[in-house]
Amino acid sequence: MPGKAYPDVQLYRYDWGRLNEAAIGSAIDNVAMKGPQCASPIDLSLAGRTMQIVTDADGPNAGPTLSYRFLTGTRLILSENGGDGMNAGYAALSLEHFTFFAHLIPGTLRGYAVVVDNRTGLVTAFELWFAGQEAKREVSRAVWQGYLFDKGRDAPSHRHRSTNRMEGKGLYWKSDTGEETLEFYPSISYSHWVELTRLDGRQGYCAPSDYIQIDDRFYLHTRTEAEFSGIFSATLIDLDRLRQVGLRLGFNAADELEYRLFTGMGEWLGQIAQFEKFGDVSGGPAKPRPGPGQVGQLDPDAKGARGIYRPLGTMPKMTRAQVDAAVKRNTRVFAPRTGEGSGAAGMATNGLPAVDWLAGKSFALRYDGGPVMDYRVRSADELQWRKDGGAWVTARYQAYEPSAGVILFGHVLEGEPNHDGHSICADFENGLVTTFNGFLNTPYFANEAGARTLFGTIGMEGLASPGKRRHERTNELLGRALTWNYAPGLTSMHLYSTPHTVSWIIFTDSGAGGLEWSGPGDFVKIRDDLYFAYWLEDACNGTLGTIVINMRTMHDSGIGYHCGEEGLSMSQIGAHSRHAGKFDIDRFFKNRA
Amino acid sequence: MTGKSMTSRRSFLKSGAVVAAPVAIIATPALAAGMEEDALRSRLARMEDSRAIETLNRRFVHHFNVADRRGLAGLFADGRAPELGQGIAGLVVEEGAQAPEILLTADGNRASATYACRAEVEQVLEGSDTLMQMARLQGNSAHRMHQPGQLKADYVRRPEGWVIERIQLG
Repeated sequence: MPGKAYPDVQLYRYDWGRLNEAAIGSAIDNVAMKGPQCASPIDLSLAGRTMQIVTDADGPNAGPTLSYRFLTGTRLILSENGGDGMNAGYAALSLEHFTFFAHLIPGTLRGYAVVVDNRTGLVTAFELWFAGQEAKREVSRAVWQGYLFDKGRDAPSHRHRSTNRMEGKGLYWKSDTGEETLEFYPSISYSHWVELTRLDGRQGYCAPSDYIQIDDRFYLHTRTEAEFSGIFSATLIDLDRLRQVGLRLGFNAADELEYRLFTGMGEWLGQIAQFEKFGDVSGGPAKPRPGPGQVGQLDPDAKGARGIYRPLGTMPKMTRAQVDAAVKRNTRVFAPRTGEGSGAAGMATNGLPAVDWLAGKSFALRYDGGPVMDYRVRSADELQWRKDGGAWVTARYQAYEPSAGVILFGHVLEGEPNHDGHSICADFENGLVTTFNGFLNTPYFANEAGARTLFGTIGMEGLASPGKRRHERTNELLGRALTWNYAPGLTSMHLYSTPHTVSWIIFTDSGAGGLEWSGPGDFVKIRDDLYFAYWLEDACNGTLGTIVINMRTMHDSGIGYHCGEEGLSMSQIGAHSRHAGKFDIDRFFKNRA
Repeated sequence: MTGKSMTSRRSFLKSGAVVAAPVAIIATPALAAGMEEDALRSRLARMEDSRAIETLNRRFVHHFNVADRRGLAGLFADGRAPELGQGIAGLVVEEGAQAPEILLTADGNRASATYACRAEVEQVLEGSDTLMQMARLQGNSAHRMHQPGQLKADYVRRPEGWVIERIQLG
């Protein structure tokens, strides 16, 4: 049963209704002759006009010719490719010298959103349709570039074009119906957004997007909430005056069709760095390429085809019994860095060397509201631990020193019912410790990692007690974007878009931001310019990634914790970093829990 | 072994556009002495065949380099895109290389040619981490290098024109 229009759970946890063509068609027929709603005054100046739009082919797909006759009120007649006229309702908005109008086609699952530059005659038409993806509620789109046909004029040679000139920008938007959203454009084919009012603003999400340049001031942006509601939005953005007009089309969590035009006012959040070669302004999207773990027939020549990351469908989903069996069969802690299924090993190429700093030492980690963990470290890769005075257990570990006197080490807690793993950041100069306690048997998929953040102190001979001081959570990373080069051909960027979100963007071989996804995160300050952070690959791959970020050496040191069908693994993460910039978003999270 | 060339495809197109391939006639049809007009007509037909095959090969390289398997399949007699080898991501016909020799059979229905080329070989990113999966999905590779080689192709004439019967990278 559909519930609220905007769910209380994270979007990737919501069980989106499996709408069929009949239900979608019925919803469209209810509104197609009315046209989209709009809270702002609509532009009625098209009444009485005709418009013939000629569009270019996109690869092997011929572009449509759209002949419009705008009647009085909000009715139009459309003829596609010289075919019969079809009546529909529409609405239009104007922004400077542009007209943005949208309509659905009664009796079909299709429609168009069209942007006309009334000065140049250039047009971008978004063809939209439902039932083109496995989730039929997801809106598909094809982008057609063209112009207004005028018998007395030659066809213009110029076109609106796909671009990377929006890449790296961030904007706050408030729509004419009061919705507030943070939007980040760190990629040429994806975007990241945070719903401040429709949702609780805690978690940011990612979606495939288009970026089209009209000129240096005006751009088009689309977002398709794939893997979630499937809602499509397209906006015409005035980057200089920070205004937008747009369309929102699709079914919300209550399975209600949202079909409206909107206007919005923006605030500038900032611009982060781009990493393409200077002079490269080419845009996306990436064409689909089937890869390992990706299923289905992906035809790069299909109309509107693009690469869409669909992680939930491809991640292994295991029961508690399957997890127990897999962990028993194969648990690998800091296994050699080779081969398929070696956990996070491939992400350790640029990792810090392991250190033997802990070898020969004994100490206790006392966590507030958590366990007391005693340690006897026998060598550079073997220790003994006991929890709350219980029996000693021997475990394999590795340790790294991301900052002088700060040791990151990790081990699995064999015998714990949820197969816990500890990633421990211990400051042996200040006597403080923070641990990300990973565990399995979580509520949605048993192999998906959960995480607890434990704050505490180090008890060791010769080490002064820190008293009541502790490491603390921090917002100092909020809005920052850091690149991570793990290995040749593997560079990502983190964007910390909320106090609880880590988004990761994968650079293409040309240095453009490409596919992007996000998950929950936590951020702890260890020292000035030294942070301990985690991200969870919820509904994605189930991994817990933990890293100590040294903002002076621009190198991280981390530990990954992952369970899949191949077993449980704990492995090293390490990458060289570059600071891509920082978005100014602190003000949106000051009074939020 | 060299790094990735950013101009390789352009180089091929340029060289392909200016190279005029010589025609080697394997078995010259018997021509009656003095039938100069027939000889010229035959020679012209073979020149046209050679140009058609050159164009076909350029299309093959283009479709291969943009990973257009459907476009590739349409160039082949059996309607299937070929597998040139593991990790082969691109082909560059050497600029300034000796012009390919297109050999036409006596009946004019089959042909073969050998092209000097460089193959762009990708080293695939290994691992099952999320980042690896995403990087592979968008076509990233761990490393790319160029290796010299030869493209050997056999062609067959069909009513609709020339198609590739087989092609091998050696």
